[in-house]
Amino acid sequence: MKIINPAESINTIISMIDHAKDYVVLVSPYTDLNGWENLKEAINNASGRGIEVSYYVREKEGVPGTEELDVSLYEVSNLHAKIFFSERIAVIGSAHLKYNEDINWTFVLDQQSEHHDMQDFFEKNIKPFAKRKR
Amino acid sequence: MKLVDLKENLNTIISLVENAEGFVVLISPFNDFEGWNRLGDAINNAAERGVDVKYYIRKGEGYNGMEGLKVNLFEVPALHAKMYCSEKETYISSGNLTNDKNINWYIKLDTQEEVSQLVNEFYKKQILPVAVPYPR
Repeated sequence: MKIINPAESINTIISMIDHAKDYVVLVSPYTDLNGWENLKEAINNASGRGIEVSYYVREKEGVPGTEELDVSLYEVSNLHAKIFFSERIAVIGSAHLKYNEDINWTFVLDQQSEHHDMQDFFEKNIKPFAKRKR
Repeated sequence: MKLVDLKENLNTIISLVENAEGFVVLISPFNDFEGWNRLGDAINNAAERGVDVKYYIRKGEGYNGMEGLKVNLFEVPALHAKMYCSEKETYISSGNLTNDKNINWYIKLDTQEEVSQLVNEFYKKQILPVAVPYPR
């Protein structure tokens, strides 16, 4: 795992999406993508080239800025974990996908075992409790 | 890195505080200790045996049950990151120190390189320069 310069956090997530070849999972309990055109563009470009993009948010919190996203959107009760991964790489952070000036850290999990462990956390603790929203 | 079993998340942090002998740093932007004595007791016990306990919260979020804590409390503007460490163990998490049912992951950093990255690139650069002692 490797810590990311805060100024590069969102670019790291966008790069992960851009390089995905099979699937992308975005877990951001609180979300506001208004004004984040480069992120939204990366997500829709991935969907456009056949990548399965799944987006998980906290139940009843709303998802402003996601109206035009071509993703499968799910809600999960009490969700507070933030995880972003493709079949290749995982990114974890203390930040939600909300544009603000908060102090956060971001790590890339670039080892196969680290990616596996975080995906396993998702499969056991988040995915089984998800309800399809759209 | 090593992921903590979800059920053990908060117990892990209590254990970290209980096992500390030198220092504890808790960075938790949002906190709620109401009705949750175990962590508060562990923190005060550590302070009483001479452990240097530093606690960083988000500016403007208030005590929320932390009034009795014998710690060095600091406020940090716009803090949203979470980090919990002693001289023995270091954890990063998506979760705050709130007694709730939220789904969060806790990760133990188990190499010196991982810990150094976090301390040098996050704690020393982003937290220490802007932390202000909380008025008590």
